[in-house]
Amino acid sequence: MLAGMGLLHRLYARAAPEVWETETRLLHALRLVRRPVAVQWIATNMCDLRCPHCYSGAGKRAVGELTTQEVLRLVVDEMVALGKPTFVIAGGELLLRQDIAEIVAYARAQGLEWAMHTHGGHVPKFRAMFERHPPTLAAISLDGEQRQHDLFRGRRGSHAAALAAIRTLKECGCPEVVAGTTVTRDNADRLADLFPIVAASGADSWGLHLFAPEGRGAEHTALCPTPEQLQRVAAFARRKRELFHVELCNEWGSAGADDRFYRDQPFLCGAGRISCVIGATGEVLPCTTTDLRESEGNLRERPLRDIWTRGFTRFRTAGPRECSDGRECWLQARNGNPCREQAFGACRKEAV
Amino acid sequence: MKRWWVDLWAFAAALALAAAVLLRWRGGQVALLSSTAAPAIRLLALLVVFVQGCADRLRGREEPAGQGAAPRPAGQDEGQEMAETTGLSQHGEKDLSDATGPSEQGDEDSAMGTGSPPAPALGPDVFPLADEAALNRWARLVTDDASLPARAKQLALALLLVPEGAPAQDPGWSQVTASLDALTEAQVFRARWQAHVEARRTGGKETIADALALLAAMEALPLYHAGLAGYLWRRAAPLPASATERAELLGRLERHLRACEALRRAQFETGPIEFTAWRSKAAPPAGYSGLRVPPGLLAAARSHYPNSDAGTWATQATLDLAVATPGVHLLRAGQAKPLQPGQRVTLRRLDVLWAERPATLRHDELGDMSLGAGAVVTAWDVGARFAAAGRELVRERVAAARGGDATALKGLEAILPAAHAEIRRAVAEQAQAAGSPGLRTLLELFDM
Ligand code: SF4
Ligand code: SF4
Repeated sequence: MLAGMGLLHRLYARAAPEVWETETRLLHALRLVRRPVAVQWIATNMCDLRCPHCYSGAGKRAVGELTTQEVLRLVVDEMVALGKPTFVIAGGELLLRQDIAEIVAYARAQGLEWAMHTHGGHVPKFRAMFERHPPTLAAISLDGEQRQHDLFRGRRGSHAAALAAIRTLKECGCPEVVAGTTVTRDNADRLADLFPIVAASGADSWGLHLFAPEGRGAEHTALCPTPEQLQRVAAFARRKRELFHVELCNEWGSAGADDRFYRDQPFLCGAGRISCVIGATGEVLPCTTTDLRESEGNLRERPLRDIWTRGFTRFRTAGPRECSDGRECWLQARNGNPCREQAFGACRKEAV
Repeated sequence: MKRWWVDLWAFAAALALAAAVLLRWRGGQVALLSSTAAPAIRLLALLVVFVQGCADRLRGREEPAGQGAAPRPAGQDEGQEMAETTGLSQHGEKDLSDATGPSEQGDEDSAMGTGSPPAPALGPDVFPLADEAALNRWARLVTDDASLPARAKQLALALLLVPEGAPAQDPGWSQVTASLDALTEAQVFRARWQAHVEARRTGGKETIADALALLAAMEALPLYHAGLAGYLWRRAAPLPASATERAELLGRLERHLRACEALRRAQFETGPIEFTAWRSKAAPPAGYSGLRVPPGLLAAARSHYPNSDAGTWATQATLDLAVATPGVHLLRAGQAKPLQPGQRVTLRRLDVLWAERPATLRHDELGDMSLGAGAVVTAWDVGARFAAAGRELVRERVAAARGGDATALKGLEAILPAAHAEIRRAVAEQAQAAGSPGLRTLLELFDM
């Protein structure tokens, strides 16, 4: 039996993207839909920082954000009905929501695993919540060494706060704390200086995200790294993986057969296929975009189950359509940002 | 009789399934895939892909391949890399012996060449992990625990995080000692590496033979780890050595890195090794290992080894050169090959060039470099071999990149072996200059 599983894994790993696409076609033909693996909720648009690359354009609270009761009923209960995908809470800054502890406690009571993205500044205040309900994964933003990070985030002390948050979360028993760096034109060539800081921070891994011109990022397109920078960062990450758990995150797209050098699992874009994002006001989106034209519906009008099951067809149909290529990051593709080819080079183009 | 009922039942089930699908089609309904049906769909998709793959292969279509796929293992293909090019003019022998090396290497030009290439004897090139027991021992050293990085990774990281020339009191050394102490089962390895750490800490001298002994101690464990192998390369690069000694170390490192590459590819196929260390204060139950090595890993790694290359060591941070005069030999992966005038060669960090008599090589941008009889050149010290004009070009480019010029930085990446020494000098001089972080990133791409 074990040997049989090994063989299946071998076959699957060799052709994961092809299997995925074939499976998508089969499911479409059979009128079936996968259950989501993760649902991200933008808890609020509020944030006390003003980072230029912010994909959610965070700042002030948005008009009509979901109330506590709406979150419990329309988000958490629906997720339970959808088979309990991982509940990823992001923002804005989720820890600025007064009711966050109540929501986390309720989600955990319903058996949901939870994860979060935070800038880390408010983590120590929530120590009791983290001790009681440690997230399975917590990502803390770290954009550079102290000077660069503080300058970019617009607040002195935010670098120190991020490092303190990493330590606190580890102390609270969070099994995987990720230091998350969004690679921009400003910091792409400074990662060598950041590496020792991340390695000594206590974080379990280093996630290298890639700037996407979404949200406030759309006003700062000059932050897009150059093709040379993309290649250098990819080469750098590949080397550092020998020493530390470094991953090129999904915004980089697929490196085809070379994925093994950059990440633990072969790349597949999950948008609308195995994951979706619920905006602060209840809009259901394929991924973290602020463009409401991409919304598949609002939780206040239709239940999440219904939106998930009937929506997102453009991601689930086969053929050369706008969203049918699971090997490209949809978010980058919709912005005409072909970073995959730039980062991994022409030979990888053949590979995918 | 029984068989008849089974057939009928299967037929009815298939009919019901088809009817359900048809009804959903007609009604435009969609349903959530149940968790019990999901594996069946995955299996079906796998089968379809498998059959399609077989059909494609029969029709002679190529399989997708990445950078790491179908590589050209060194020692098997120099002929391709040394393909002759036309248009190269012949150059006379020039004396450029004013070039100074970035290291303790580089005063060997005075030795006379013997005329026969000094290839080292590396022994048979076979996958080094002989059996499942060796594979398990290796896996235990290199696999991350659920909450702790692998011990080999911790050691490599600790060693690399200690800055060059760090004083004996640097707190980084205690991290190194702790990482070594964690390798409780490796007495000989620990003693050998502890001696190396002591030499580094106190500024003691080491030789290329010491580096070879460190590598041998690793492989005896067996500890195959690209990070540690890269560290060893970096430590040994400036040490003085004859062509044969240098080629032996680099050849052994190349095999080591190829083995790491084969093991990485194998894990991508079979699934990763998983490891959970025993943490209870009570003794672990008899036979507890916490290690789950996927079945077929050893066979897969063995099958990949002959076609595995040394990863980034084979393909990145290289320098393209053209041979202008005869008498130069390339020592690569334990083999020595004479280079003919007009041939182009990609000098990798694992290669040695040896001149049996005074000879000239040329870089398209940096111009000529000359080798005296018996000269030994590697990617580490090649920069100092270029004529004054070439070295000046490197200096200017480094200065521009340090000032923040992105084009200059890109240009340096293409000539890293020729530029790394100047980059080191420049960032040491002005660590906080606008472009110094970028230059430090380039150095990382050369050193590992
Ligand atoms: S990136 Fe994060 S910390 Fe920065 S403004 Fe956006 S939500 Fe706030
Ligand atoms: S769109 Fe990009 S970031 Fe979003 S799920 Fe797909 S790959 Fe990930």
